[in-house]
Amino acid sequence: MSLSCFLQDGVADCFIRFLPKNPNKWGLWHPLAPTTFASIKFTSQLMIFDMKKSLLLVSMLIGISAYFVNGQNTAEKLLDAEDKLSIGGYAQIDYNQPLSSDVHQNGKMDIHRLVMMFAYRFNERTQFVTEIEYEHVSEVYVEQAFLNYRINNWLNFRGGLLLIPMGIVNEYHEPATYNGVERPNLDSRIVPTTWREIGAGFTGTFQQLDLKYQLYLVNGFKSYDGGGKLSGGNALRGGRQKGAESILTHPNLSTKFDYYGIPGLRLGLSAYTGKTQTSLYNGIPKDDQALEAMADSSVIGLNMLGLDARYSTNGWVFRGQLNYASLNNTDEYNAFAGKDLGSQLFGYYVEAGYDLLNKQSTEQKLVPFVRYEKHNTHQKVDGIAQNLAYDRTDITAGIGWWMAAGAVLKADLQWFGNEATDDYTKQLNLGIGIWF
Amino acid sequence: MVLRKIFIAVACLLLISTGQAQLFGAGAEDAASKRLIKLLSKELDADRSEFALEKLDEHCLQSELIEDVSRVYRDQKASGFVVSAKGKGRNDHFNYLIYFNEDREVELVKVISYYSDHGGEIASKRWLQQFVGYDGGELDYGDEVQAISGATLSAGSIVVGIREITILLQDCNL
Repeated sequence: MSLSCFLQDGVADCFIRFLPKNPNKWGLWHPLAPTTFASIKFTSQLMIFDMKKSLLLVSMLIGISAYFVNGQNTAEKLLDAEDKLSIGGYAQIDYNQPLSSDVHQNGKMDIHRLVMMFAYRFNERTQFVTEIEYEHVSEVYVEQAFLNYRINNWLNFRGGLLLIPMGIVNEYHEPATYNGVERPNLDSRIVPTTWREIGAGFTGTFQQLDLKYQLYLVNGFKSYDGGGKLSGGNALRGGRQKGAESILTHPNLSTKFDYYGIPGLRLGLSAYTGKTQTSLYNGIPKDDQALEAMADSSVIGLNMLGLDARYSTNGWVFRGQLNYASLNNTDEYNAFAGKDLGSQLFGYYVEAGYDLLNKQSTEQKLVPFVRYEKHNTHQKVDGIAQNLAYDRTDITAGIGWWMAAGAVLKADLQWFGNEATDDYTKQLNLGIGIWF
Repeated sequence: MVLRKIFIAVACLLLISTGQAQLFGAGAEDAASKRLIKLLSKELDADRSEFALEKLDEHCLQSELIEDVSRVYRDQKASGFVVSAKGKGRNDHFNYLIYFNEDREVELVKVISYYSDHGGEIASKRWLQQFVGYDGGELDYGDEVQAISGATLSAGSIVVGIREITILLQDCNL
């Protein structure tokens, strides 16, 4: 127990703090840990002229506070500094070599991503998590930055820069968690990984049901800011605001449910709905219908659904994901902004791998895998011609050697094709992935 | 005169606080084992009054992974050990308990507190069920233990923890 007093304007403020005798105890798990501080205020007059009374008062207060705190003080298991601050990170260093029999093509060597994660726990309910990302060495982003307040297991409040829970890789994008040097292209063209926006909402797990849910109100894509941001080939990708001076005109809703009740299997269902943001409403008079109509034509309505599954058993690993998005007002938007945005996006991938070291008693893994992807950002169009080049098929085959759970060397070959041509372009990828 | 009174006051406060701290320390220990007994009796579907715990602090049980080990007595008969342990998830620590029978085989694993952003799935009863009966043999995540997608770090951590703690307990001469 410690006592500290501050004297100010003739008033003494005293704080009594109860420190647990042995902090490494069970107490922290108690859900209703009250404050461990007792505060006592008394004036200097009281101190001098009524010392006996104040002594009595102090003793009583200590007694009362000790009564309340006793047995719960360990509840405030005072985590040592090392426990309060967690540091982690991941990185992906790639070598991409397009292969062509006709022309010379440069290889690319890139520190694609280097991300530092810091998490700080204020108390057993309150935590701040952030990830700072260096992309291609020179671009700096904040990938996540949120405050989480745990009310109980099934209810956490969360606010800040959040990853949008859609599919697998947008949330679980550390290179040691997926096969292949590069992330699936579905998770670039249709789910614009890493998709994150500022917002707030709730998340939690229902342990009895083996169900995790996430429900966030977030800022949406920016479709127009001095020019159109969305395009036919990359769909929504150019509209990500990433929490950087992002503009808000229409809040969006993002939800995901994950079921993990069957060992080895995890199923996800994601949904996202809302409208895009535009800079054009800003400053226009509220009764100016012509200007409002113009601004309206720069807004896209968006509904996206995602289904994903991961299954592993006896060294086999399977995963698959399917995404569908319906966009409305694309004809007006395309005419207004001079773009070729599709009105429906659709894609899926399936992937299978097998750990050759499954039977060995080692934490190492050697996983050959193959992935088949189909994704079309012009699944449907409205008022424009369908571009068959946006209907893509990608095949990836390769191998990953996990030297440890968080350190992996990867090599693969990719074939990229689309409906506008019969030819596939080829690319060799070599990569280093780490995660800790 | 005033100084003397202040001196007396401070002395009184010190005395009181030492007394309370002593009282408090004992209370905390009781509360911790009470909570442990409550959890055990609930999980084993038995009455609380059947259980008693005796804390062990043998040197051979010292580990970064272990917070506490207690001998469990059920109806006054030695009936195993309960270990409270600490694991590491994606961005925070978590706590779990392992209950071993007299043969030092795992009878029960329960995740008590989980704070991290990802990986809370390891608290799934069905997933933890696969550790029941474990006696210190091979235990590789993804091989003997079913992988759990989205919880790689936490699951890896608890698997390593259960294995090391089981071996530690079995090698310890108690």
